[in-house]
Amino acid sequence: MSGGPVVLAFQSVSAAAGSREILRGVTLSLHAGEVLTLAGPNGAGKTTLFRVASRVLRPSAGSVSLLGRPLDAFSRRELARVLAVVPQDASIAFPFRVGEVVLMGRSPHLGPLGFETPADLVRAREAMARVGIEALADRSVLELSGGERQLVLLARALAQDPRVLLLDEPTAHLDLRHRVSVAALVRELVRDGRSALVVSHDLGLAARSGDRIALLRRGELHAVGTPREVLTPAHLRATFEVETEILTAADGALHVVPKLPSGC
Amino acid sequence: MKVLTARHAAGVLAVLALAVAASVIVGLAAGPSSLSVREVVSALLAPETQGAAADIVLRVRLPRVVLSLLVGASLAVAGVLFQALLRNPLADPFVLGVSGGAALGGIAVLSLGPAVGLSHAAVAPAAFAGALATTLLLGLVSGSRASPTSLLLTGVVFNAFASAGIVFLASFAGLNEGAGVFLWLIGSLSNVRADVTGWVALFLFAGLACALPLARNLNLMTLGEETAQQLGVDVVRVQRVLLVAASLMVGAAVSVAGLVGFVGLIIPHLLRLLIGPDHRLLVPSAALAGGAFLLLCDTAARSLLGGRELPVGALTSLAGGPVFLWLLRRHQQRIFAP
Repeated sequence: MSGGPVVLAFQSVSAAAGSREILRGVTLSLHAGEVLTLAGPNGAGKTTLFRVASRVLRPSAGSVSLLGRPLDAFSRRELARVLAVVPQDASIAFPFRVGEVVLMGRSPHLGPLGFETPADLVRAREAMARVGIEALADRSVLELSGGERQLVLLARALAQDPRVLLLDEPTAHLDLRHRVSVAALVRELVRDGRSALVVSHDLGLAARSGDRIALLRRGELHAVGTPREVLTPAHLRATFEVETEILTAADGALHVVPKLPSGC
Repeated sequence: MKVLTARHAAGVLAVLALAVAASVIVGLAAGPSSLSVREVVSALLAPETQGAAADIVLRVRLPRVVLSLLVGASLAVAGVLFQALLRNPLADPFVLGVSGGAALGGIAVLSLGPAVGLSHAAVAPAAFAGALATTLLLGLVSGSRASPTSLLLTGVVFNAFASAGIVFLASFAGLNEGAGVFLWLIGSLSNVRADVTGWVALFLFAGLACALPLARNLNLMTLGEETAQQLGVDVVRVQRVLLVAASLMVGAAVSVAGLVGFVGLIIPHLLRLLIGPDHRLLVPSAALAGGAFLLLCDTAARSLLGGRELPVGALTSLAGGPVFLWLLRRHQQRIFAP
């Protein structure tokens, strides 16, 4: 829950792509053992926040700290041992096998030269087993479906053995069964002290599997809090510009039901 | 789960080394006056022996065999590096115009060098400079997120420009009276000079020394720059080092052999089919297989027409053109899709 120590903190972060400012003064903290869902319209800056957190993009203002240290104090390899990113999708140009791609997640833990050790292989196999893709290990990644590729990227991030996971729409290409199992896996991962920041458009699943939800709108943080605090018609209208009805399921979880504009 | 182990890599490299040794024997035995394997081996084992056979093997053919191994290795490894850095299986120093830039640098020294006191030894460094300049220009023109189409089109334009520049410089300096310029444009190994072989070897081994320790990072970079960074790779440094390494190798190869085309395309692709895309094995394998391939092509070029000689570049381009088109068709959907 959000009571754990802060592991990743954005402090008034602004960031730009070229001359266009995408993030404006975002202050947000991720706690140990927490799943924080990041939601908002397309182009609100969710992926950019991930790029800032993984130091692929430097903020134009503000600062980011990870495990209490400024992000800039980490070397690239050190950072990759602590923080892993599951991208939306990856275009892979060469026919690497699934097992090889998952094993690449071990690379920040390896020496600069040489080959993976048997222990690294065990880690990679475990990661594939947790995601349920052992059977794909020897298939070329070029032959996979979008959903299978997404599971490979998730397994690679698990093989990285990070404290903090950033997942960018990890379930976008997945069927319902896999959506649920990925959400369950993320919950399981944070149980042993990891933290996850998850971009998702699936607010229902976010309400059920996330501890807190942050709504991002036009590069600014609009609201952050528990699902019950954030998933209100007023907040969703302000963020997504749609009318919604919030229902409560038998187990108390919230459901967001969008309404069509009147006249449709 | 199948993964690359050091043992497997050593096995593959041993097989390729044997293939290199076999092609060296073929290259030393074949030619206008054909020698037996026994004659070749005895000349190699006892270099102090006198006689026509030993003379042909050691003084005529061996320097050229060594040179073709070095040039083939340089071009194939450069191809692997460009393909990985640009994440484009169609990238090749010849197709991208980098070889053209190197040739332009080399010919500039040959044609204008004497006037400013530059000797022949400056050809290789000038070709390296030409290759590096073209590589940088390629990055500048098409940007780091260039689509495969724009990269290949840029290469087409560079090649046209380089060819025109080469002909212009050569005409200006009156170099085109012999077949010299023609050989630069089509690629040939007939011009063996010991001083140049030294440069080629130096550039090749320097390039390999840069590339081999970064081979694992190259695997990660084929997943995309951001992903590689997120997996701990210092992408900018790796790119810089490897672009210099690739340019060194192209400069070395072109300075001595001219525009030998498609070796950097055929060999890496063939190897990926046989041994997979892992660069820890692909880079050294490309050096061995590229050397053997060019040596065999050059041996054919020397032997096919009896006493007369074909430029080896004509053979590699005849073989490479169809391979390129096949690759283009094979990858079209994947890499040209939006």
